[in-house]
Amino acid sequence: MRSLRVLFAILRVSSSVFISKWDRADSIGCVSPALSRRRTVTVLFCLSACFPGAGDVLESAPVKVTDISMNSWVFRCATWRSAFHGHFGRVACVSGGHRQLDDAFLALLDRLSWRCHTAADVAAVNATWENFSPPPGVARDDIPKLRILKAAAHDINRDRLGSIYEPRFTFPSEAVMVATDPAEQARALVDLHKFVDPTFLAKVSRPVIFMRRVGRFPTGTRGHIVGFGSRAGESGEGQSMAFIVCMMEGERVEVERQRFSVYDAAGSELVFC
Amino acid sequence: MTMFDGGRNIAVLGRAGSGKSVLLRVMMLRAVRRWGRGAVAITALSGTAAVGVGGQTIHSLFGWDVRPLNKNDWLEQAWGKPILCEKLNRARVVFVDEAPTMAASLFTRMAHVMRHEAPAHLRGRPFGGCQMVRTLEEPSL
Repeated sequence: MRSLRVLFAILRVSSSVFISKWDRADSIGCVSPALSRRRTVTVLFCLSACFPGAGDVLESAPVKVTDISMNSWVFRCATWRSAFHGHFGRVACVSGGHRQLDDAFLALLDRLSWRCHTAADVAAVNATWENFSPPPGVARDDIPKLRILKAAAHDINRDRLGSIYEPRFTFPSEAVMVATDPAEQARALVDLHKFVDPTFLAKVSRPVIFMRRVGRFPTGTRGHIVGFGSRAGESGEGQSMAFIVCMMEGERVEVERQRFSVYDAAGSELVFC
Repeated sequence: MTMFDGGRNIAVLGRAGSGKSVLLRVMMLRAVRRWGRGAVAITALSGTAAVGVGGQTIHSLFGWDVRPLNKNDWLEQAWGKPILCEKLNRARVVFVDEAPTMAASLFTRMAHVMRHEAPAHLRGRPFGGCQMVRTLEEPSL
């Protein structure tokens, strides 16, 4: 079986989060799908006008929250109570508001934190971008956008990719099953494809963000694609390539394919790609 | 701040924009001045939240990956990493921003590893006697 690895975690293409000026980066909060795996809501990019340097939309509930399992809300577990509600700790409340003045929007953020957001909330968050006017001298497309669902963010990325007139290269992933039980295989495959797209598309000049450290470049480093490479001599549009060459802070960096795996509770690998 | 200076664990609660993260940063500065940078761990579950407070992810601090192991298995993994053990032993204050993003299982795992990594006389205390400071949004409680 061929071990196919993908680039997705290291190199999440993010044409919609490209920041044109580095000095504005502190006013932008952003979460990528790769960095928010434990969330039901994937908030991709925060609009600086609404969330200056804040984590307002970053505090969403963990996945699979229940009242009886170990995956309950963190403040309902015994460890929390012993740490913060007894002799050893206290809960302190900070009142007042210094950033969000709109009560309706605050209520929306509360619903996000509680995992009880509605379709209208999703639309309202998406509309924060539609109603925003960029400051003079800044291109509208260069400003990060807030999108509450991963699918909506993918739509933006796809549109931005379509606007680049360069040959398109594909990086397909192929799942290799290690588990033998069919039911386990099906579950593992679903889990894998929650986080790894079946195909990664890229073009030269497409903006990218590193989602994990590559060489001396830490997570979050931004740059753009300058080329593609193939170990087996493959090349050209539509070909499956081995690595991507990125320009990060003036330096060329080769980004290789990475292996993604799904494990069971015993730590055994079930499937990888 | 009195509670913080007294070494108690603190959960800072407030709505979006109430100044939780600002307060957290002030506490961080005091902790670093008091204990030194190596004894202060600044974390959050997601990378972006961690970057927002100038720290690292919880998984990065503990050397965890995505495998769904139980807390004893993670403790054994930690024992196999001397540098991690030393780092956890040295920690006097751990800050966690956006705390409700983590599930109870992760929090319990964190407490379990820290308690068993602590010196024997501190293992009866939550988190092995390490001071915990967390921020969370008001509706969460």
